Amino acid sequence: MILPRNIYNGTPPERRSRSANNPTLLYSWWCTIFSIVIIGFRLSGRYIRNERLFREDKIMAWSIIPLVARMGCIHVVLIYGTNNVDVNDLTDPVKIHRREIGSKCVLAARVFYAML
Amino acid sequence: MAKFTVSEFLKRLTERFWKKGYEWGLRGIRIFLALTFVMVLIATLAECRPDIRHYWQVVPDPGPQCRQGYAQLLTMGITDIITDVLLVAFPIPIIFRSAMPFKRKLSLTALFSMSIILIIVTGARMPLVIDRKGIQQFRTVFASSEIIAAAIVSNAIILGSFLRDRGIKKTKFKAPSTTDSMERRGSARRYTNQPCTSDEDLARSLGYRTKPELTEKTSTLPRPAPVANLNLLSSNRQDGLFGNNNWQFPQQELGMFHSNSDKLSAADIRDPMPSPRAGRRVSWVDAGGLLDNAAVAPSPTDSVIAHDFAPQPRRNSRASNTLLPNGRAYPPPARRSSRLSQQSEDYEMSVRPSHQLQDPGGLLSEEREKEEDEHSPTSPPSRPSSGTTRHQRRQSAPTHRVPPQNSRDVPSLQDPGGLLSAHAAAPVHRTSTQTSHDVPSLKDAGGLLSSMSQSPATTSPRSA
Repeated sequence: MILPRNIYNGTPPERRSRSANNPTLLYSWWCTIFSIVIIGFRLSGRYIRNERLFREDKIMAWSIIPLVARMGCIHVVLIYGTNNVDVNDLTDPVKIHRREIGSKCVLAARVFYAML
Repeated sequence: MAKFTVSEFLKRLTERFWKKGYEWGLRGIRIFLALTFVMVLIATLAECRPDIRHYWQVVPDPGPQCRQGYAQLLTMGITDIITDVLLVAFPIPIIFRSAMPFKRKLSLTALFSMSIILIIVTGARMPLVIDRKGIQQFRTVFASSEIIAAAIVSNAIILGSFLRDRGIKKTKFKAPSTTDSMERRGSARRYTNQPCTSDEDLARSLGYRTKPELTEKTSTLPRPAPVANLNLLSSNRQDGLFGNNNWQFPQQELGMFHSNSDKLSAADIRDPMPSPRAGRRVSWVDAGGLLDNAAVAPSPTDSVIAHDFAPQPRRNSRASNTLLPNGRAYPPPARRSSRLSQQSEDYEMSVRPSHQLQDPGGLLSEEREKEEDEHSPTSPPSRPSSGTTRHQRRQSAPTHRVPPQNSRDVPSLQDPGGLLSAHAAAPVHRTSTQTSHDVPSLKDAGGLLSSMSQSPATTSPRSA
């Protein structure tokens, strides 16, 4: 189907300002919180009805942890940015450092996301 | 994890009609899930091959492989789709093989097929992200959408069962299991036995009764039964909180029976009465009635009954021990009760009336001791055995009780010090308590104690 050479695009995407990231950030937080609310509904409902939690509920409860951890990482990533940008006019060392941190957080977020 | 949840649910579903094929299918799905996780991990961390530090290298462009993370995206997307398909496809043959009406089959299939949403989202995500050159914001948006979709899907079945007010609760309600009923009974029993603060309750619940003389004596006394019972219940309930000074009414009641009851202040008495009544209360709860009957005529069956109910009351003994230190703050009750339970186990092997007499006298309560303390002025010769036990208690009393009394502040009314010193010198109840109010210092309390421990008889007579 898709040849690997075609996937990897040589030109990185353009940088975005922080205000442009805000909707994304908001949406991510909203999704995360809504998921937690759903899980909480499930757990509390199960507990109220059965007065005990099955194993699946416990797994679901544990999955809140990577959910929140991923959201924390994504928050950092969206604020600091990653190295997947056009770096031609990027000279500020603070920003570069932030983007390094953001890139690390991307990895962590992906791992947590895989755990979910 | 969300998919593990779904697989767990399917497992619980298929447990009812167990088939080998389903189990293997589920196991395969789980193994595949774990494998997926490992694959994604590898794809995430090993895509940028020369050095992992290139992942966060910014200024010299590390190359698109380290920037865009397409391997993770593709691996995760594809394996997600596969697992979703598996999880959707797994329950469908079960549903269609079952003997449900067709409409219900269809709705159930739709419910289980909600993971198709996930498949669509994931499938749409991959090419779109690649189109946008893997820009992080776009990925995040899609990932968040996927997360919420996964949360909805994996919880939809359970939440739907909540909404339709069906599900696992119904089966539980229809067929309450044996464990359920046992749990309930245990909780009920614990509730009723929890307020029993007297150590005689403890011993009785262990299958021991008090000395026959004591029980006979107190039970033959005329007493308005219902009033006494209510009073006992209420005061017992407060007893854990407020200590000893709410035994007013029993004391007034006592005034009918004991000529020297004017000596007894409210703080002093820890109610000599509750032992027989508490015993009756236990009998009202459970097999203590049997024990009561057995107490009249001890027989080999007695031991059997005691053995029956021994494991249950041991828990109760712990429960009541948690109440005890509130009333009298000293640690030994736990140890003593453990000793008691050990010995009770020994006694269960060979229950003899003489041992039963000895055991509550030697090991048990202050109530009994207090009872003896009250009774002894009126009728000392009536119980010779109680005299010996009292002496033992007095000898052991200073070692046990002095430290908590020193650690606690004396001036409080509910101080166990008043109680304890009141024990040691039975005729001097009121004096000792009043000194404990008046003198707030610890030293004096210690002095009181030491004098008490030296010789109870030489304590100052009632002169305050």
